[in-house]
Order: sequence, then structure tokens, then C-alpha cells
Amino acid sequence: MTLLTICLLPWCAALLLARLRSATAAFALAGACALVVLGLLGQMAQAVWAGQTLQSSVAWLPALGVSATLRIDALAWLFATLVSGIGALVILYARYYMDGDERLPRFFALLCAFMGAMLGVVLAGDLVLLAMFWELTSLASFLLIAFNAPDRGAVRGARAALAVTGMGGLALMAAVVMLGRAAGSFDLATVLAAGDVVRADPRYPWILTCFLLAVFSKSAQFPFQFWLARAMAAPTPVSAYLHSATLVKAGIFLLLRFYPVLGGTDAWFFAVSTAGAITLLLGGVAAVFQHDLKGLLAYSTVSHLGLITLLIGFSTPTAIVAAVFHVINHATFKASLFMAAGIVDHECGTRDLRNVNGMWRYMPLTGSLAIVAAAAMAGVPLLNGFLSKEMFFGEALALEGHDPIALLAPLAALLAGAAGVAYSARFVHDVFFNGAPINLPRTPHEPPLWMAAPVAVLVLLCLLVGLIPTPIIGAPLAAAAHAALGGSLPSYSLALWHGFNGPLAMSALALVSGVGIYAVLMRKRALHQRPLPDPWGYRQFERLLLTLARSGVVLVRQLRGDRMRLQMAVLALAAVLAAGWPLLGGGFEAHLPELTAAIPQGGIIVWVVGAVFAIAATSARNQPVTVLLFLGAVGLAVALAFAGLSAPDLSLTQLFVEVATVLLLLLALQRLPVEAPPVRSLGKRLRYAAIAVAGGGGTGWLAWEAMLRKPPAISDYQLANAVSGAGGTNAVNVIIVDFRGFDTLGEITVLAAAALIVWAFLARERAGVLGRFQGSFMLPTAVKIVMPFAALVAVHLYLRGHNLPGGGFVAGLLLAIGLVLEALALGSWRSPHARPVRWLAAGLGLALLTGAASLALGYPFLTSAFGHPVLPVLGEIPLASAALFDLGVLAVVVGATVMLILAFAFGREEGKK
Amino acid sequence: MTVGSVLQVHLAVLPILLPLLTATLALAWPRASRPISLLGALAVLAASMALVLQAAGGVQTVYLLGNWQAPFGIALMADHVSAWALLATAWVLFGVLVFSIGGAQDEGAFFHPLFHVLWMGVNGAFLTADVFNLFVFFEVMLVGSYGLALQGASGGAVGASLRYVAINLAGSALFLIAAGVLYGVSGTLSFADLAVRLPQLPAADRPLAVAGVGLLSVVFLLKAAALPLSAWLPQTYGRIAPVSAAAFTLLTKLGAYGLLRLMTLWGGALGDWPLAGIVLACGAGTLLLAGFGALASLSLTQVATWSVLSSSGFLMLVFASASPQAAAAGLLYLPASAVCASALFLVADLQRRNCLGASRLWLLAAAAGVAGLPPFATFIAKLQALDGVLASPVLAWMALVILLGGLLSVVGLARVGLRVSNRGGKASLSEQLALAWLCGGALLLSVCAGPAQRYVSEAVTQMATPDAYIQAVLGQAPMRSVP
Repeated sequence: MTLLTICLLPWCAALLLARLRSATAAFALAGACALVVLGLLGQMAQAVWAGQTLQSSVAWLPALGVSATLRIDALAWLFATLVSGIGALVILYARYYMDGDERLPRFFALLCAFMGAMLGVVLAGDLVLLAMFWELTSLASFLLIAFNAPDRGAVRGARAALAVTGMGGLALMAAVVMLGRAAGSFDLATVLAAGDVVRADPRYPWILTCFLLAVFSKSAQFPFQFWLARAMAAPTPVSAYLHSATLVKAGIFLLLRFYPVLGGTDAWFFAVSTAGAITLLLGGVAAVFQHDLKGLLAYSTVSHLGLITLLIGFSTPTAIVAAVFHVINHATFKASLFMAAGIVDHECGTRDLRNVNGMWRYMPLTGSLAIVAAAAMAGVPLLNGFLSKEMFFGEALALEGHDPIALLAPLAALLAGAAGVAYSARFVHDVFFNGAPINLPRTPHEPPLWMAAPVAVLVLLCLLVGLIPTPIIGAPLAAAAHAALGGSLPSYSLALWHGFNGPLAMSALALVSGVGIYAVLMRKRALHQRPLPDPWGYRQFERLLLTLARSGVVLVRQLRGDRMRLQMAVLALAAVLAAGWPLLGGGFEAHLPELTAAIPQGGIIVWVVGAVFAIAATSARNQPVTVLLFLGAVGLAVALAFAGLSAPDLSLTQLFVEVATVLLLLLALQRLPVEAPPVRSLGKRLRYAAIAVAGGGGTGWLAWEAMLRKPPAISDYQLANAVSGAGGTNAVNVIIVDFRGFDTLGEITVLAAAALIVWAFLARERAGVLGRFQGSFMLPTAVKIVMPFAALVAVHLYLRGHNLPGGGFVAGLLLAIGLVLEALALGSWRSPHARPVRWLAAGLGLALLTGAASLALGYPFLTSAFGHPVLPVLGEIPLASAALFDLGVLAVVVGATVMLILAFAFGREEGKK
Repeated sequence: MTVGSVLQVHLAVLPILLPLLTATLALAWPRASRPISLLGALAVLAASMALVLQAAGGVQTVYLLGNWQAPFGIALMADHVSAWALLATAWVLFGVLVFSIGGAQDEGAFFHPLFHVLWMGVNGAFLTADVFNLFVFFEVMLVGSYGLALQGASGGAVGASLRYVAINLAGSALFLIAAGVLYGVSGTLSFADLAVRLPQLPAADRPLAVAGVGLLSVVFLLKAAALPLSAWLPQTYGRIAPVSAAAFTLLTKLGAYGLLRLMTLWGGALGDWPLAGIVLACGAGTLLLAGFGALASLSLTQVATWSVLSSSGFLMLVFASASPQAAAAGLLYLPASAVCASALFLVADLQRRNCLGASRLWLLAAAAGVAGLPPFATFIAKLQALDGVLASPVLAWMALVILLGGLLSVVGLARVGLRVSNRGGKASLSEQLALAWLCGGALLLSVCAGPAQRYVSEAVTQMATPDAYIQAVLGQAPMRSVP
């Protein structure tokens, strides 16, 4: 329960903080959150130091074998305490650093969110949960770096950080999945116990690669070190908190955590120690030459992270102890140094080392604190940094086997130590001494007392640990190292004085040579004239990003979404391939049409006429109206062919559809600009022609082949059951309104919606094609005579539909054409019947209601009933409920046709009706 | 018989009828269209949820329209996958509807009727178990989407919409040809009956059937905007009104869903025709293309567009991977990615109207969800997919594709997200509620990931045994008397 509180409290605080306006309230809430977490951790301290592991678990993803487990042992406790403790100090510091900034609540919200994510990483007792919180830390870091977002540096820094740590996060996901499979469980405790199995697994190299990618990217190890320097664009409290003390230690934490599982192999030794050594030297040397105060600290952080990584790479128990110890020490002195740098920046308005000099006169308190912290960083005796650096030197000297590295390690350690002294010296000397400040925007003075307080607390810790290590840090260090090693603890000593030995000599040498190097470099302020060293990695990263983005642009441009012809060609080609591959791939026997047998003799002329018109249509592609008329002729030929093949329903429908379509398209063409198509090269035309022939010819062939097959089809059943099951002798109509009435419902919806779209789209056009046609004498009179007959025929067609050719669709078209004529005659929308929206709504409603009537009786939607009531005078009337559905179809067809044609003809100026 | 029990019996058809009813009523009473539309949306949402609950309870609902036995009439099938997709649709469209109303973006002509027609089409396509009926619902869905795409369109957007119409008309024509070939060669249209008849075809007819299935899969690939056929998507979604694009995020999923059904039901009849391999390659290509597209984007709308393509590619990849774990991950990913992508489009709309400054939290949430970052369910789904593909060495390359695509998307999103200015007003309350609904959906799915994963893995098991589907559809007897 306590664990859950620790984990969730920062998130709740973050959510609340995001809503707050008052800076004071935000500070109180954020501070309280950090302190409560710290207090809860303190409560657990004794149990955890005694070697207990506390755990709480909730089932979460059984399908993956993942549960939401939180687990704390001494190692996790140590990191959690660092996170919350330094978090509390940073919150106090930020309160004054960002005094008066209205974004403070948001800033605290992000800090708390980060704290929650980081606590999640260290407390996660399940690999999946771990990966999840890991991603969240990357996200929080991204947001905090981007805090001053429109600022160019912030944007670039945030982007680099997210790209690198995001890549690491994805690598961790892969590593976690493979690790979980190799160990047989995602549960951390199980995985920690399964080291031997994992190391013997064939996937071990892959697991290690992905894992180290994740860890190195987060902890800014070579070659990913560049993002950390860029992250300095974040406000200084963020640098102090995330980019020195906690976030970058997440990678170290993972290395320590999984050392018992993945460590101890040669691959681990070489990969981890090589990356660590390179980072150690690279960072150390680069730090000396930085002119930005935070840049110097950032590279020194890189160097120290390299040191810790190198120690873990050494893979000896004492090296692990040293690594854990240095994690603590580095967090204390580096956070305090960042805060001191922030104070200098805050008070001077700049943090350029070439301008900020001689601060000792203005801020002796900050100066003395910073000097102690810097001395700890340099490894001056009596401070905590000295102790862990001694251990590091000792380990480097004690290394055996692993030839090249064992020889080079002491040398590298000495070099790095000297560089560490040199940049520490530069920090102290350049900022607080070295003449007077140059061109400062404002006159510096001591910061508010509460801003210096967190620095003082941390420096005090450095001193205490340095002077009396065992009482202060002994127990948690031993417990954490024990937990990290996963086995027995080696013997080591935290004493200040081990006698004259190799490490001490190295320390002394490093101190002397470091100061010497700095003195030489800084002679006559020569160091200030040096250009910045090449930020190796960052340029390459930016170039890579740019190249990727550019290739993205190029790639996307290839798609050419606005080139319709190309898209259609690709689609046609895909279709040709999809259908052609199985047919031409072998084993398929083509049936060539036999001209004499297959085609009804009388119809052949109609077919030929249709084909001629179709070919004619392609040849006249520059004259749309001509094409349209040709296509109309093709349609009529098809209608005749249907009639010839004894499909009167289809024929009738085709006829009316053709008339309505040609009318509609003629109206539409009036609005279309006619452009001559661009002249294309012969090759291109041939290519497109080939695709067209393959597509069209292929379709024809496919249809031919498909029609030759006579499998037992569902239409046999429908023919057999039209009368007995649905009460209609016109099977086509029965299929439309009953067997597959649901399709029809969908189709009339399409029709109605299409009409509405045209209507809505033409709404922006004020006038129609025909303008204000006022009508003539003849037409209205003619319509008055014709209209009742048209209506009568429509009613006749509709009524007989269920048994004889006809039906709602055809009747609707007929009626619609009549109504259009009437409207034309009356001019514009004055016709009382031309209210298409009502027709549509009524039609859809009627169809729906008819279908739904059967629901009330417990039958499925669209179940029809029929009967043959005998009425006086009229005799027996075949009546089916499907007829009402058909009436709905009729209404929709009327509405849609009238709407479409009149919208084109008149526009929508009278659409208010 | 109470109303409740009537509703329960006809639950499977309600997600189609309710939107149509709503559209009709909204058409008939334009003044009251907002309340009608909202009420209708709530009803569809409730029906979709009820269907998921019913499916989770182990009930596969087959609904025979017109009381005609399959394959002679049309059957609807609400199994795990269909119900799941319906709920995803309802979740997305409800959020988008609330957002549109909140921002008064529903005032275009016939917005509400067309919106519900779109909804009806998507639902119908997910529910139907009949090839021709699927064609009809594709048309319904498309006509609704044409209407929404043209809402408030001007200039380039009109051109883009018309090209969208054109390419989809071509797709519909192909669908019709495919349906005709399948019917011609097998004499049936029901999914289940086709699954029975295709393997029994004489060897001479088999290539013809495969050609029909191949054409159908081209249609689905077009709908899913798979790589050689992706061009229509960026140019449409990126140019039309973002609110309309937000409503479209599920349309590409429909393509992936169609492919999934096709592969599971008829896969056995295809012989050595490598459909799964083609889909796999298309999916991988689409995923990477979308990553590069995201990296090259300069605006939120563009990056949201590519994220739609990316999720489509991911779905194709995992559905065709033959790993049940990965397929289940895909089903988990489907709703989560759809709601997040919609939310991202809506955020882009806020930005366009200069209302984003104070509401950037939503940008963060939507972008994190789209990128597959925790705490959203997309993260869990990706992890599960990795787990699935890494389990077999043959599929391990897919993990690389998924991770690489993910990384490119993350960087692209970050690039665009960082350009968003912090100035500007605040979104209205109902717009924020809509965004909370959408992002909250992805969050809820990861909190309740346990039951959700159980549901999707049941769904995958169900799909892996098409016989149960076939028997359920063909074995469903029409009602004889009033129950």
C-alpha cells in the first residue's frame, strides 16, 4: 500500500498542479508531495536495509503474464530516496529560481510527473511496467527540456533528447520482451533469479544489445552523449534534477539492477567498459574547453556517468560497490553545482565563463558552497568525491585479465582524474576569481537565502560523507550494493586513510597534473580564446535527422496524391496482377467464346451497335457532350440486350436510369470547364493504353469465364421460393424488396445521401444552369395533361411490381421525371410537389418502419407478410408488406432524382422550402 | 414481450438501424437535428457496448434479415471482432460528434444525416456476413464520407475530396467485379457459404475463385491505403476539414478488418497464392512509409494523417503475421489508435482555429497515444505485438519494422508538436469533453487491459477456427413462430 502511495502520489500531485494558478499553492503542494514520499521511504528504511524486499502486486495483463507489481529493495530504495530527496530540494530551489513566472504551477506539475515516472522506474517489479515508466521518464524529460519551447535551443535540445531516449525506449521494449521470454516471466524477482538461463539463451546477444542501447542512450554514454549537452537548454532546476542527479542515473540503475542477470560475460565486460571508458575521457576533456557554465557541468556529468559505467563494466563486486557509492556522491555534488551555476546565471543574467569572473566579491556564500562542491567533484580529500574516486582508481589498478583494457584502464583513469581536476579548477577559478566580470547585464549579489539553502544542504552532505562515511552512508550503501550484486557482499572499507598506496598516488598525481594543465591552458586567458570543441555526435545526429526528413519528403512526393491518372493506373495494375496471376499462373484453361452458340441470334446486332458506340466514346474524349451521348447510346444498347436476354426488369430499369443519368450529366457538364488534356508522349500513351486494355479486356474475360460456370446458386432457391415464401411472382422484385431487402435499404440510403451531398454542395452556387426559367404557355398546359397519366402509369408500375416487371424503383423514376417536367414548366421551385427533402425523409422512414414492423411481432427486421384479401369491386388483391417497403424505395427515388436534377437546373436559391 | 427483450433479440441489427433512423429524423426535422443526432449517437453507443458485453459473454449473435436462412438471405454476424470494431467506431464517432457540436462545426448542410449515414455504413460493414451486402455498406459508408469530406470544403479541399470520390468509385467498381466473379464461380454470396464452397470447387474453377478473392483483397488494400495504393489517403485526410478527417480514422481499419476476415475465412481455399505474404509486405512498407511521412510533416494535420496510415500498416502487419499474440495485439491496437488519431485531428482543428494555446495537454495526450507511448493502450498493444513476433525467429524482422516505424513517428510528432505555439485561446468545454472522451478511451483501455486482452485473445481464437463461424451462420434457423 505504501509502495502504491509512493508511486501514485506524484502523479496525483501533477494532475492537481496542472489546474492550479497560484505559485505559492503549487510550491506547497509539490514540496509536500516530495516530502511525503521521502517520509514514506524513511519509514521503510530499516526494513529495507536489513535486506527485506517489500512487494505489492495487482493482476493487470494476464494474457502477457504481466502484473502491476511494485517492489522495493535496498537498491531501489536508494534511488527512490535520491529521486525524492533531491526532488524536494530542487522544488525549493525552483520556487526562487523561477520567482514570478506564471508558468510555475505547470513547471511543478512536470517535475512531479517526472518524479512519479522515475519512482516508477526504480520501484517497478515487472519488466513491462519498468519499460512503461522508462518511456514516461523520456517523455517528462522531453517536456521539461522543451519548457521554453519557442526558444530554438530548447526545441532542438528537446528533439535530440526525445529522439535518442525514444530510440532507447523502443530498444528497451524489445529487450524486455526477449528477456521476459528467455527468463520465462516478466516478474522482476523471477528474472533476477534466472541469470544463468538468460546468459545461456541463444537470444542473449540480442537482449544485451537492445538493453545496452537503451541504457547508454539514457545515461548519455558514447555515442549518445550529445543529447545531454543539448538538454542544458532546460531551466537550471531541471538540469540539476534530471540531467545530473536522477534521469541520467536511470540507465545506471538499470545496469546495476540487471547486472546479476546480464552481467559477468565477456560481452558485457567489453561493451560496457569500452563505452564507459570512451565516455569518461571524452566528457572529461570536452568539459575543460566549454565556455558555457552549464555546458562544462554537462560534460563533466557525461564523464562521471562514464566512470560509473566503466566501474560496472569491470564486473567485480568491489567495483559495483564503488559504482553505487559514486552514484550517491555524484548526485549530491553535481546537483549542488548545477544549483550554484543557476544562482550565478540568475544573478548575472549570463553564464558565459568568459564574462562571469570574479564573483567571489559579490557572492561569497554561494562561492564557498560551490568551491566545496567543486572540490568534491575534483576528488579532493575529506570530501565524498575523494572516497569513490579512490575506489575507482583502486579498481582500475586491480583489474586483471582482459588484456587491452586492463592495461589501459589505469591510464584512462588517471587521465580522466586529471581532466576532472582541471575542469573543477576552471569552474572555481573562472567563475569566482580570474579578474572582474565583463559586460554583465546586471550587478550580481547574493541570492535569497532559501535559494542557497538547498545547495548548502547538499554541500553539507558532501562534507559529512567525506568526513565520516560509515555512520552516514555505510548502511544504505552496503544494503544497496548487496541488492545490486544479488549475492554476497565483498569486503571493502570506507575509511579515509588506507595508507600510502597506488590509488592515493594516482589521486595526488591527478590533482597536481590537473591543476597544472588548467594553469597552462589558462595562461593569459588563452582558454577563453579557444573555439568550442566540435560537439561530436550532435552534428551527425542533426544531419541524420535532416537526411531522414528530406528522404521522407522525397518519398512522399513520389506518391503524388493529386495525380489521378497515375493512381488509377496503379490501382488497375494491382487489379490486373491480382486477377491475372492465378489465371495466367498456369493450370487454368481459358474458354474461348463460340460465336454461334453462346449469343442469342437476334441480339447480336444490338451488341455490335453497343460496342461501336463504346469505342466511339473513347475516341471523342475532348468533347464531353459527345462522349455522354455515345455512352447514353451504349446504355440503351445494354437495355435492349437485357430485353433480348429476357430480363425485362433490368431492361426497364436500365432504360429509365439511362435517361435520368444522361439528363443529369448534361446539366452537370454545363458547370464543368472543358480543358483539352495535355499532350503526352507516345510511350506514356502506350503504357496507359496497355493498362487500359489489360484492365478492360481482363474484366471482360473474367466476366465471360464467370458466366460460363453454372454452380448451384442461391438464386435457384430464390426462384423456387418467391411465391411460396414471399408472395410474389416477379422473382427480381422479390429479391430486391424481400430476400435482399436489406441491400435495397442500404442502396436507397446511398441514393438519398448522394442527392443530399449534391444538394449541399451546390448550395454555394446561387444560380442554376437554367437560371430563372419563367415557363411558357405550352409547357405548363402539356404538363397538366401529361402529369396525371405519368402518375397513373407510375402507380400501375409500382402496384404490379411484386408480380410483373415494374416495381418501386422504376415507378419512382417515372414519377420523378414527371415531377421534374412539372417543375420545369412552372419555373424553379414553385411546384408544390418538388419538395425533395420530404420525399427522401418520408421514403427512408417508410422503408424503415415497414422493416421494423416485424420487430414488434418478434420476427427479424424486414420479415415480410403477405396475403390475398378479396376486396369488393377490385377483386382479389395480392398484398405483401414488402410492397410498403417498395413504396419507400419509390419515394426515395423520386426525392433523389428530383433533388439532383432540380439542384443542377435551378441551384438552391429557393431551397428554403 | 417487453421493449427490453425485443431490443435484446434484435441487438445485432440496431447499430445499423439506429443511425439510419437518426439520419432520417434529423433530415425530417432539421431544427431539432442536434438533439436527435446526440440521442441517436448515444443509442448506437449503448447498442455497441451491449454487443461487446454479449460477445464477451460468449454469445455469437447471428441475425437473419427478413427471416431468410443463410445463405439465401442476408445474415449479420456479431462475433467478438465485429462487436469490438463496432464499439471502437461508436467511441470515435461519438467523440467527434460532440466535438463538432461543441465547436459549432455541424452547421454545414445535412451534417447530421450524413454523419449518421457514415456511421451506419461502417457498422454495417463490420457486421455483415455477406459479400454483396458488404459492398452495399461500403457504398453507404463511402457516400457518408463523401458528404463529410465536402463539408465546408473550398479550393484545394474540394479537389482533394473529388479525387477521393473518384478513387473510391474505382474501388467500388472493382468490388462489384470481384463480387460478381465470386458469385459466378461459386453461386453464393454469404461469407460462410463461400468458405464452404470455395475449397470444394473443381480444380478448373479454382483459379477463377482465387482471382475473385484477389480482386477483393485489392479493394481492401486500397481501403487500408496499403503501400502501392496509399496515395489517396494523405492527400484526402490532410486537406479536408480536420473534424471530418477525425471521423474517418476507422475507415482504413475497415480495410484491415476485411483482409483479416478474408484471410481467416477463405485463406484455406487460396492454395499457394501468397495473400498473407503480400499483405505482410504491404503492411511493412506502409508502416515505414508512414514513419517517413510523419518525419517529413510540417503540420499537425499532416502528422495525424500519417499516423492513420501508420496504424493501418501496423494492423496489416500483425493481422497477416500468423502469430495469434500479434493479431490479438492488433485488435487491442485498433480502437486505441483510432481514438488517439481522431483526437490528434481534433487537436489540429483546435490549432487551426487558434484555440490550442491553453489546451496543449490534449496535444500531448493525443500525440503520446498515437506514438504508442505509455500510459495509453497503444503502448501495451505494441509491446504485445513485439512479444508475438519475437516469439518466432522468422517474424523477428517485423519487430524491427514496428520499432523503426514507431521511432520515426515519435520524432515526427515531436518535431511538429514543438512548433505549436503556446498562444491562443482555449477550447470550449464540450470540445474538451470530447477530447477527454477520446484520450480517456485509450487510457481506459490500458487500465482495463486485462479483460480487454482476454476479450481480444478470445476473438483471435474464434477467428482461428472459422468452422464455428460457418456453422453459426449457416446453422442459424429462421424463426418459425412468435417466440
